[in-house]
Amino acid sequence: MTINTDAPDEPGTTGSDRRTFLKWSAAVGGTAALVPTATQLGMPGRASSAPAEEDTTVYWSACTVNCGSRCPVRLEVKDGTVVRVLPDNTGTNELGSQQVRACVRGRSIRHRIYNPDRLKKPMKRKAGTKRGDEEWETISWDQALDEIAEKMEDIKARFGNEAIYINYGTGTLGSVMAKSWPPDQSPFARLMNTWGGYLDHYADYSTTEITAAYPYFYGTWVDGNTFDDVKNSELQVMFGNNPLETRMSGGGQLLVSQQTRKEHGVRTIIVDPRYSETAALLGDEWVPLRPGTDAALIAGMIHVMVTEDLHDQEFLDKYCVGFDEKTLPKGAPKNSSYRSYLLGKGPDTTEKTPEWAADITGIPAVKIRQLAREIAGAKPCAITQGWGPQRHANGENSARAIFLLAAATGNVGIPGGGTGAREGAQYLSIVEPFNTELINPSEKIISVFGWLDAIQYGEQMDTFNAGVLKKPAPGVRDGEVPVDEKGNATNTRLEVPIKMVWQYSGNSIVNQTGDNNASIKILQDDTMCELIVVCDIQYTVSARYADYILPGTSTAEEDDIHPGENGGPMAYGIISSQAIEPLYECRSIFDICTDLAERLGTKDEFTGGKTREEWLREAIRQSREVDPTLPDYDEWKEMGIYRRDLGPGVSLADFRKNPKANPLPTPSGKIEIYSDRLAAMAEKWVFGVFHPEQAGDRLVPLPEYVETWEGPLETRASDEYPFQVIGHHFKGRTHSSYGNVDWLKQAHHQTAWINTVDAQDRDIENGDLVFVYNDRGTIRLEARVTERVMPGVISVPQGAWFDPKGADEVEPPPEANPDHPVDVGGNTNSLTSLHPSALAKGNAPHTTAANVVKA
Amino acid sequence: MAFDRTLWEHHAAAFGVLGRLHREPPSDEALTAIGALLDEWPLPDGPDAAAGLARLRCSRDAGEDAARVRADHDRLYGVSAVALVAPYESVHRGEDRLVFDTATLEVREAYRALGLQAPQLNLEPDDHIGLELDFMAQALLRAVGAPDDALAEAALAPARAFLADHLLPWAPAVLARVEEAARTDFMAGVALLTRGALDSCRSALGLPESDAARR
Repeated sequence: MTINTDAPDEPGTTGSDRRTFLKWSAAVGGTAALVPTATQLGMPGRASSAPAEEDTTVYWSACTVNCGSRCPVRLEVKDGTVVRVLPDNTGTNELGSQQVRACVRGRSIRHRIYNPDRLKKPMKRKAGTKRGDEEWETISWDQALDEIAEKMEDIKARFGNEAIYINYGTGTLGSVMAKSWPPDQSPFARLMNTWGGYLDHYADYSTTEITAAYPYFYGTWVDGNTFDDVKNSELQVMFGNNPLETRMSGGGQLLVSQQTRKEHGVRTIIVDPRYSETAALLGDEWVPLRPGTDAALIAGMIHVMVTEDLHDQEFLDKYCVGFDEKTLPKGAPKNSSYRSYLLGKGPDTTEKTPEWAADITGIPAVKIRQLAREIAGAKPCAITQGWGPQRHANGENSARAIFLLAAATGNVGIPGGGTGAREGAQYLSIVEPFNTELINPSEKIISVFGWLDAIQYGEQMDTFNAGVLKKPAPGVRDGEVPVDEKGNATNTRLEVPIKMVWQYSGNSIVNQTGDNNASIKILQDDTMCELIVVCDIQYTVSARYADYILPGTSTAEEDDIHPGENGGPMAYGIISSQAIEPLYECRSIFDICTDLAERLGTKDEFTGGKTREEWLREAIRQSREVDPTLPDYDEWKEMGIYRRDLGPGVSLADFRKNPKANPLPTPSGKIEIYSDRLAAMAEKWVFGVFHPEQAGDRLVPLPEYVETWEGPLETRASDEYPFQVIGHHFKGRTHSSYGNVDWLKQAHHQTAWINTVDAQDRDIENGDLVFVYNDRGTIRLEARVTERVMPGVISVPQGAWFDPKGADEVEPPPEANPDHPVDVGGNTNSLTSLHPSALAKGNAPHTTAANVVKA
Repeated sequence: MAFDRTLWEHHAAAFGVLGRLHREPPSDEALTAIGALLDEWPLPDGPDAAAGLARLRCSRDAGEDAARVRADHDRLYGVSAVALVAPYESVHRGEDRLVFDTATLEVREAYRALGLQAPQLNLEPDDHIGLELDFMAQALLRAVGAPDDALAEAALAPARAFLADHLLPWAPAVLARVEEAARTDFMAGVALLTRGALDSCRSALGLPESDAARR
């Protein structure tokens, strides 16, 4: 006789009467715990004790965060569970067909999927508690969506659709159906488009200042040449560009820049306050400069070029306006050209000599002369900028100044040269009908950084005082240059304040915007913003400040399309397959929005009569109409990654070849070194309305150096806050994504980089805990004492999870503002300001003054 | 020696109840019912069990209600989001400290061998402490239900192996952390009582004390 494990005896059939068992079971009541295995049902022949299938299946998936790369990962699944994460195993080691191996983040994706802290059920802030108190009630999906829909109807009835705002969030920007960015292409935007629209924002937290600068220089966003085109260069100069840490995919710009370097050995100069990995591994020379002074360095260098006749006057005459008096647009005042600015004939009457620039930038004048001669003499020279230089209070001008350097040296539009913008890459044409076929009828648009102001001041905000803009055309997520055809500045007013903030797959409620402590204060008044909904997979810092939290699915739990990003000459795309069931009660954003649309009465318009999978197929079907050589959906899904070598890209080559036939979309059709539109706006724009007016709050027609609040001159004169604090991108996180992954936290400590000289003065040793503080907040973290950051500068990797502790737990230093908690997570936005930059009205996180003391 | 069906039935009862309380906090009715039964706890009074019963009596006498216990249970075990003490074996035993890891799949195998599986297979981890305790209850009940003593004795093998391989290496230590972190006497009491039940079962199954991770 054997024990029959297939059919357990019913209680009470033998031996014991099980009185005790039954009595206690009755007391606690209860739901089913372990249940009979499904394999037993109707399959009497199969022994239930048979081991589970040993076979594993490998699924193509992807890491979809906002790192500027896009990597496939292969998930090995056993018994319904991801047991291993494998890299791309296709492609070659050659540029153009390169293997796209995921970085340390993508390789630890299991730690996101199976993080014990994942969101599991819908939650609601408990009545009577404040946002951020973290007192939650778990509720059903029905209750959550019923209540959200009801509140949305209420807000719409009282304020209209423009009171509903989609916040910046880039956690899943690499997907199509789960897309969180651009915001107007996210599923919730589609839902809002079926229901009357919403208030949108222009630009993004990565590039607010450069995005605002482009129209006034090139007329529109333009890329640089691709990095593989550097093989045609004599010299490469990178301003704050750091592909090795900000484009980290094994198939991304990290590879493209290094491989090109290895094969062609083009001399490379890195201008950066920090000796980045790129400076260390790609650079031949590191030129440290004070943060935010790029425009001064460039003025000093062009002064040398002009003095020594090293610049490309022919290019400036033919393709640009405003370098010289003779090419100034009609109506521009006398002595308003860039040359006049250099020679001290402009309003500031200061000649921009290398000595002048040296004092501001911290780079010796002799080095500035050397650099100017070397850059001007290299034909051609590849000049690029990363997005650090522009993430400043004067970032619009830093960005334009670096463009100008490329123009003044005649490098725009030629192989081996570049536009002075960030490097470009090749892309496939992937059409995304689900995301783009419906139009938002709202005609106004605010800056991505303006939402906290719009919560507080709403209808008081307009173009002149807050950068509210009109869209150039219906449904276009952009702001029109606010100057009419006659050259007059135009004004658009917001009509209502923001009453609802929707945050999907993003951490910009608190953590990634700016001034955490001030943001929290604004958000905790729920008579202003009445509804905050966060949908994510992790319990993020932003989730803590929500009214409702909706648990979403991870990429492993979905099928999706992932267009390639920044593969240099290689265009590519990934189609992923669902590897595991959605965990807990998590649901896809498509399903969540479908059920919300049903409650709002627009379900059919939202789904368009298609399932999620049918939309994916439709995207590839329409893409193949544009490009018939693309594989079909099923083939592509099987192969995972599809790639195509498109070779080097040269930006603005058509314009260079024939500027009359291919004019730029500026009023002059040329590169505008002097912008008469900015001059017109400068007359009308006002400052100090919603934020106290400060140094640097002004618009200038030229890409000149503007000293600002908390800039290098202010900090070096200050005893209170003598350091410029910048926040570099970090290998252990993509912004804040992956910020709660234990592996990455162990491998990449959150530290404050401080120069050895500054540390010595303050008795700080490597590894000591320090406080970095200013009036807006205090962080505590480990010091990294290093010569890799220039004196007077502290660099704290951005994106760490804000973790405030009251004085009862961590006492702040006596010099710090005692009204604020100590953020032991070390988030840079505990120190940054909500003061917007002048033109972009953008975040300026690298413009931050602070002090440091040993903890 | 004859097979002591009462002893094993009592252990099954204890694990059944405790498993349920770790998985899901009790209703107000259940709290009342439990409060009335405390003097009849079926297992012997080791130090942890005695301390656990004392904390549960405190909870009853202080009138801790279901809402308070539910909030504490959520806070401790991260029912909605972040856990103070994750209730899953793999988080505490795996190098990666994740859910759905090696231990989870091993536990799944052990359940399968008795024809059992987690109620939310692949959606919620199999190795929740409440499910592991339920497995002990069900495994012991099979032994109790065996037709003769020899078969019953043999039928204890899966429970013995599971206790030694899975519960003892992590649960006593983690329950100590639960007891420390708990804000209610009820959850602290449940944690202590569970430690007591595991220890009593270990001893009855003839497993050495050194098998248990106490801290």
